[in-house]
Amino acid sequence: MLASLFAGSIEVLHPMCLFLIMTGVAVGIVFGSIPGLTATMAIALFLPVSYQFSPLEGIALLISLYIGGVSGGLLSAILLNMPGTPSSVATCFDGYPLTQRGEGFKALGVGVFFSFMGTLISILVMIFVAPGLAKMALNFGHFEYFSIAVFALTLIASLAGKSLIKGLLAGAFGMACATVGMAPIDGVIRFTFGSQQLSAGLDLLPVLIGMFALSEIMSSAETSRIEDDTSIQNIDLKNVKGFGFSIAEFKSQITNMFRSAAIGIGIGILPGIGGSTSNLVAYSVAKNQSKTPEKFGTGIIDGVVATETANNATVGGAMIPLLTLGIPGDMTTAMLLGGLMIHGLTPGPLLFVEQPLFVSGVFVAMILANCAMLFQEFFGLRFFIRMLQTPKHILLPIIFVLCVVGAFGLNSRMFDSIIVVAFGCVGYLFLKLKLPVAPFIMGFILGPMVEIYLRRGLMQSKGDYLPFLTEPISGAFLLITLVSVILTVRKNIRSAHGGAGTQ
Amino acid sequence: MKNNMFRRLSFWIAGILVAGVCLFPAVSEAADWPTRPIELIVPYRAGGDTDFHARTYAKYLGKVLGGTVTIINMEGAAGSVAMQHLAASRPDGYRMVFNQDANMFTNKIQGGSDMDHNNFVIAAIGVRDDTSVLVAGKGAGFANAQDFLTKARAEPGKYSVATNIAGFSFFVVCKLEAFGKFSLNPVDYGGAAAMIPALLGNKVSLAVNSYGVFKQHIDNGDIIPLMLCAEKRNPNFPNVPTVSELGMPGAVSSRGYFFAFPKGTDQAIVKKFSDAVAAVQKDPAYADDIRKAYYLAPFYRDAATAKKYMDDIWTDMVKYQDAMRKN
Repeated sequence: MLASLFAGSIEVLHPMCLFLIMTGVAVGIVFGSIPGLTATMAIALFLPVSYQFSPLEGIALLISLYIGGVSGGLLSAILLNMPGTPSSVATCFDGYPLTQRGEGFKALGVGVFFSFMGTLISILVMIFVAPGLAKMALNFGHFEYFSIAVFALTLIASLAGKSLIKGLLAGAFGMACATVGMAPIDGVIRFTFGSQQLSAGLDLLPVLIGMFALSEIMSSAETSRIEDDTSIQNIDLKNVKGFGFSIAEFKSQITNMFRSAAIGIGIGILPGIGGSTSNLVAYSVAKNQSKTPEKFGTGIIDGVVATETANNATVGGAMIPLLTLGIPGDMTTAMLLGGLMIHGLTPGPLLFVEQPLFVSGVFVAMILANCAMLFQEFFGLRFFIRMLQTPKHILLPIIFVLCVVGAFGLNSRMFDSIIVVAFGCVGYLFLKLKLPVAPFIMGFILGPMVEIYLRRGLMQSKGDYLPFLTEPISGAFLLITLVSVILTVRKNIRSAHGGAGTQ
Repeated sequence: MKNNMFRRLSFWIAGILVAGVCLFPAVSEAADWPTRPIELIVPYRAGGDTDFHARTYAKYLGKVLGGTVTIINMEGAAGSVAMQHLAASRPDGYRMVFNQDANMFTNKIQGGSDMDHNNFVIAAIGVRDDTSVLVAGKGAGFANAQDFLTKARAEPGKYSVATNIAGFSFFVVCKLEAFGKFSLNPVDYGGAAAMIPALLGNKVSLAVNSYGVFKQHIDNGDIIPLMLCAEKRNPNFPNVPTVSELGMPGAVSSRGYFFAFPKGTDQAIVKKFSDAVAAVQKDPAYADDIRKAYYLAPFYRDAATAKKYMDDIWTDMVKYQDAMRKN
């Protein structure tokens, strides 16, 4: 393995290839950090460009965009409370409170460092145990995906914040919004009110940009004339060293890091679930496992560590089925697959046999891109902070425009830009009513998964519900779901009683 | 006074210009076309087969037409969002859609859209995929096509087949069932990305898709190709028997990929584009690209014959509408 990695590095260590990696990561970070522009869009833009280069150079460029893009989302999440990409939704929860407390540099340092660690762990796992893991993923069929999605839905409870009822309401509303458009499988039209545009349903990204970025812009606009906004300005850059956190703090996060990396890789391997889910799941698991769950959401580094490790680990995870089986795990890897095919390369088991140099070249390129990401973000930290120190009345309109334009660019539809504005208003309403947004997003992502896998599972079993319980993996997840629900209900009853007692 | 004259002069010049543009738009546009990049809309996300064919074409068409062809991915509602968008576009020759006939027709049959090829000017059929194969996972236990036919006929509905209910592969399954006199249990898996792991993990016995999608796993021995839904064997994988050889010649099916302009597009532009597609077809580099990726041979129907080609496909598909609506 090491010998072939060495051979692979000789392939990659050309000035051109290194230049493409550096450029790719830099562009990826910029795309990732701007709400409305994503890694996926960066790859789509550079796909035609990548054909000009050799296959390895082309794919190195695309992978660098991917790695930079997934990580870049943390910058705006931490500094502006707007997730730069769907992968960094949960990074806002603790990252932004840290910034508000004046510990923005520390939050960024933690985010950047654990992004690097998450990617690194996942790449190592990919290099050494990829084939075995890919085989394991084959045991997951419709029944299993259904049960995983149901289990993940119960995590809404831990994302609900103070009021479980409001969390459940938001989650249910998210699931309802996701039913708009053509039903999966048979294409029955639902809730479109005769609009052809709505028959395509609501896309995740415009909804997400609206709910998070636009609503944040609106609420900032509301307060801009009342209070002097200094939340970003008060980041102290004078007395910080390194990444802004201590070795003791790093040690306290090791368990969290490995657990979140495992969640990220696991979710990355399973086709159809991606970084947008893994950061939320890792965040809620870290919160449930913590001795001090009440501190989550108030600005502790545990939350940032969990989400940034997990979403970056998803990159390596998603590459595993792509390279070993030729199966893209998410939209971004689907584009990488397209990029490879145009070069006449089909990823899959035979690629390892026929093109071992190319495969190890890809591995080395990923490691280099990860290092480039760490250096660029580390040395760029001060620059990013300065950039975002631009007064909000100048910065936010620019971001607003980018959000609307970005939503259009994603699928070339004006309709998506309208959706951004519409859900911006919904998000603002959520803020006013103190409804949590995270459960909404969870419901929006997972609701359709539950539906499609339930219906596909029932096709498989010819209408029999029993296999959902009797298939071992599926049954186990449903059991965990049940336990999780019972524990949540018990905890809530207790805290309700406890609350009543102290008052 | 001088100022006034200048105004009057400029008024006349502007008037003449406007009149000129209004009177001779067709002539000048068609002769110069294309003077700016042409948008080629792919109604699906980047990375799939339609996207591949469109991008491969864009590479060669740009050279032939002396302009740029830009790929725009616009997915939604199984392709009908893009078709609707095109129908509402200005017929100036700068916006077109590249789509699959079977997907558009399935959408119409299942009630998702009421559009078909008659709503557009079909400039050409540029790709035909006749490599649909019925494959089995290694664990399904079929030695060959004959073995499969015997077992499937003996136990109707026992074997599950992975397909895309909203797409071409379900139509292929319906046809195979009708002519093969067997019945399978169709299970929706969307695309190839989910079909392959299901076959490898023994979650499903059979699947239908283009041969190229399964190629590596067939070479590896994990997936067994049972039959090819074409009249003749494919020279790239001559070991796979055809449905005709197996006594079910009616089960042949293929999907065409067409280029569509909005209705009202200048015939000269359509002709020019159609000729460019024909020129790309003759380029050996293009033939090499599509053979390597999907084992296809160049295939071309010009604007005049494309309608008849698509009419025939529609007539064939509509016969199976009851079976296709069942799920």
